[in-house]
Amino acid sequence: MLLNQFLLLAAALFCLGVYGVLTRRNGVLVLMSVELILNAVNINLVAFGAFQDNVVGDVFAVFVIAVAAAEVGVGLAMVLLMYRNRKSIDFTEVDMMRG
Amino acid sequence: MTLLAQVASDFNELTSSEVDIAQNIAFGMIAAVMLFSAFRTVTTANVVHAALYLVIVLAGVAALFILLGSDFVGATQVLVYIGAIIVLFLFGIMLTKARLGDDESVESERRGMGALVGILLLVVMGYALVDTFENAELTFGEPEPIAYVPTEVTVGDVPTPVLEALPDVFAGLGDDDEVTISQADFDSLVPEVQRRVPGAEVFGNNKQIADSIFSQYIVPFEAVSVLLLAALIGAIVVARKE
Amino acid sequence: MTGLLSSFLAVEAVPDVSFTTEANWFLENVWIIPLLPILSFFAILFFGKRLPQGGAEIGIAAVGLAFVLAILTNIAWLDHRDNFDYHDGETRTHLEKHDDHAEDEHASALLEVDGVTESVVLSFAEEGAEGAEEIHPSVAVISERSWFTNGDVDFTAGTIVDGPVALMLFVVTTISLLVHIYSTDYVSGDRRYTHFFAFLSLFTGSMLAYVVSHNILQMIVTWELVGLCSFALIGHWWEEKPNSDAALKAFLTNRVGDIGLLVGMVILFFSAGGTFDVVEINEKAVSGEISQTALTWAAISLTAAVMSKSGQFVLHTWLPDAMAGPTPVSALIHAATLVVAGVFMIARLYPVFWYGFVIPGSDINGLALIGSITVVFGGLLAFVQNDIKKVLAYSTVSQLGYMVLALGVGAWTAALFHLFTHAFFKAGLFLGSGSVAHSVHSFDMKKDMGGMRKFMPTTFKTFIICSIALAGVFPFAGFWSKDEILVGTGGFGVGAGKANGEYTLMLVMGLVGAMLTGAYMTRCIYLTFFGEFRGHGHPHESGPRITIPLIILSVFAFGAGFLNFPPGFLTGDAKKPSFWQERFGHFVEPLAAYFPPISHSVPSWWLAIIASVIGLIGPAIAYFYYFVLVDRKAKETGEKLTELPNGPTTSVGFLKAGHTLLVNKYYLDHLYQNVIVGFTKGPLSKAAYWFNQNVLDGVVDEAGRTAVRSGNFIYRYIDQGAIEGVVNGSGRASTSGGQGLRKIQTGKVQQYAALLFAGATVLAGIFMFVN
Repeated sequence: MLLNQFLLLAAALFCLGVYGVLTRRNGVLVLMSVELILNAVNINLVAFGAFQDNVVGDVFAVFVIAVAAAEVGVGLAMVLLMYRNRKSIDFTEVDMMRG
Repeated sequence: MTLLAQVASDFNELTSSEVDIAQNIAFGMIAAVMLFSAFRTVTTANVVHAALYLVIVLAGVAALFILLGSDFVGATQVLVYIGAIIVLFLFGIMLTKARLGDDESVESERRGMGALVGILLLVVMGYALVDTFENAELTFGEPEPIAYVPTEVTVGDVPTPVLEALPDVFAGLGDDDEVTISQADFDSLVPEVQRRVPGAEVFGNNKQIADSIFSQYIVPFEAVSVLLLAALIGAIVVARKE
Repeated sequence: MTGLLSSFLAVEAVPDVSFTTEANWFLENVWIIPLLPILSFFAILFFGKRLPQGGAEIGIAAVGLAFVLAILTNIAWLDHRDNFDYHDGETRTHLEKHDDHAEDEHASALLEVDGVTESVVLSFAEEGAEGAEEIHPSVAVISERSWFTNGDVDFTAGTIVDGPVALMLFVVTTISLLVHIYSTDYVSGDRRYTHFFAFLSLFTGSMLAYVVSHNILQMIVTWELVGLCSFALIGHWWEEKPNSDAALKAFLTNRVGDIGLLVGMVILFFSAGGTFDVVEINEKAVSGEISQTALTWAAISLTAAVMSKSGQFVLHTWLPDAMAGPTPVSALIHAATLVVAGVFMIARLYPVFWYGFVIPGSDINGLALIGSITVVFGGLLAFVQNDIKKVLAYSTVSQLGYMVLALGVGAWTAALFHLFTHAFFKAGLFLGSGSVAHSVHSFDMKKDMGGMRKFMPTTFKTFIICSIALAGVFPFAGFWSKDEILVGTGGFGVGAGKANGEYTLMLVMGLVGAMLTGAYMTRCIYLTFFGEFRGHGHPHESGPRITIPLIILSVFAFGAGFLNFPPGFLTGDAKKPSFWQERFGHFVEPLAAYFPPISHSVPSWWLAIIASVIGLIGPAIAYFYYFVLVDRKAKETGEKLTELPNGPTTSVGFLKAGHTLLVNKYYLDHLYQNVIVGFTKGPLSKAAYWFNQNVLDGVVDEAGRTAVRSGNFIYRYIDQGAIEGVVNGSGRASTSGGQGLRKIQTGKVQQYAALLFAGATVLAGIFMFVN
């Protein structure tokens, strides 16, 4: 197997995730797209770990999974809070930062 | 040695190039399914379907991990992502009372912009990757020769590090001579040699991962545990009703 | 250099040692001293509110303990300085190679004076034998631990104790302890009493940590900590806009200097071969291992930091505004902590500044120029202030100018000595002004003070003593230190050729500064303590927790100068200083391989006398104007005057000027009768009278008017106009830029993210194709 086939697949997943983050209006769907991005990164970590024949990539992939779990927990809590306050989780309606 | 290669060699005595073909076929199938599912995840109008497609992507990622010989990470992926995070997402969907059927309102009017950025990113990254790594091979080497030392061997089969570690035992012996490594000598090799008994093959790199996490990366590990605790408390504080 | 001293003592040779790691327990464990107040900060923060005294008792206990330890450390240092067996001392650099700076005109001049060539001196040093009287070096005590390692650079954390450190430990803990005690009364009932004491402790602790820092990395960290605490304390009453503005201004102005600090420290780190160690950097700067260019750039960058922290001209604008903080804080800032940090950095890294900041093509050090300008400009500004604390603030600017000037002309010991004496009398003045303000609830001298001597006799007496010390009148503390600085300039050939050169300009500026000092303090005293009370209510003397620190400080203000009698004072033989002369210099001055030779000018009687006379002319003019003219006018008209209605400040045009001239002329009789006749009888009086009438009349009038006018000019145009203009202008530019840019801020998060990703991608693409 080539290293690149994993990396390119990860790149494609990453870009799909970015597309989702940028276009999804629903907060939960945005979080799902973030998961795609994180998984793309994990594939990279593990592929490089295999490439260099050590376990560092695996170790950090485990860390990323743990952090992702935390991120989803907090992210969904925020989406819930937003839903409770506005009865909507549409990100395009949130524009209080407008200058 | 990856699981796939192991299975293949156990049952069919395939050559390494045949193993490689098997791996590539597996990869191709997994990749195709993953890309399709990922695409559907970010485009489908049905929120629940998006979550289910995500499950397929995550399972694909777990399969890739196993293909890459990282079975521990693969198992973690299945347990944490598919087992816990997806459930969390489904809860999120329910609690925000998203419509269960197709819901066109989840799509933004800025799809063009997102697609442009995504494609641009893919082109740049793809070019960089192809340019940098070209045809770099992933070699899951044959099992490390040093990792296997039976107690009765011919001297010619003994790996060099073992020869160097036990100069007294092998002194003056020719390559074809049979030699018995005493239990004491064998034990003294343990730091250098992965101790394996024939017939009880140890598989995977769990031991090394555990060693790394709890020695070299103990600080990040502790930091992550604190982070998880903070996220737990934070999520409760943010989400609870006043 | 081998620590060769340029002194008038016989042939000297100092062994090539810098530091030791084994010494008295107190010297090795000096880290406890800063730790105590820092721990007290946390203790007050967590438990302060629950304690009966609101946390003040923790602060006082911690600082008091630190004070005791500082005293013990000083005693240990006194013993170590003279009795340490220095043959075990270490030096990191090997100085066999030829010494660049020996070519330096300063050093070579000294060698010629001593009449020996360097090689002879070196061989003396090696043999330590006959012919050369071996001088006992001042061996620094270092204790350090490895902090962290990055690559092959080992970052250590540690402490150093040598002369200046021991001195600063004493000064900081003393002043801080007095300020703590004073504050218990001054801020009692304040809404953030506990918070105040917490930050007072942290302020003290970070300054102490700064002082004992053994490497420049620690210096940067503690320097910033000091800045942070000053921000918190200046803005203590942040609810009022001017106060929070002042705190911001202090913080931001200091950030400007901090850029210089970082750049300078980075240059030093790399040019010294990757070390943060202060002693090592100093050794390498002395031995010439750091290139001259690197030293110059480092010195210039660090000077920016010094200018902002120590309020040198151009970057001093925050200092008067910082008066918005509570008065005890002002005292602490001005006497012992914040502004002294800059001066201390020059003293600490003296070789860097001394060799690095020489203006090319001359032997003038840039510091001397900056200092001398600050002395005069700061002094002039003090004339036009109505806020008593601002007078004192500008006075501090001026006095810090003296210290920097002294460091610039090579009179290191004089600078530190002035720092030492100034700490006491300036703290006394600030606390005194706070005592008055505490009683009249205002700082405005013209509106709310006047005649306070009747109400507050103790404050009045201590204020007068401190003012006299500040003005440099014999035999108060300021006299000795200021005189040492003036002699150190070597202008007009004073100092018997033992100074580093003839800095005549610096001497003149110093004398002018001395004159101004006396004059503005006289004005300040008149407006505050004399005349009629112009405020409201019934002022009364402050309580003992305020007056006792004042009394202690005024005792120091009187006596601190005696620690460093010039050699030959009363004994007449400058070549053999007696055991009670030059004690301060002996114990404070680093006499080791990590310091350049420090010159000791021979004290000059006639300079002392001239300086005293000039220093009295200023007060005399001011006295005449306020105590005679204004007072009389006030009695005639029965009004509460603070300036003459037609005084120099209000006279515009020829007629008014003529009128003022007339009035002045008329009252010159009284000057003559009250002052001249009163003190000089006989024929001199007639000549003096004539001289007064015809010459001084014009000079005095013109001098007074010029002083006020130039003070006004500087204040209005340079201080408030140009410098503030730049600050405000940059603010306006960013406002209009922001107005233009706000149109693209749609507030849509995903659009931002898209722009972010697109930008990052384009950048990545550019980098990729460029490579």
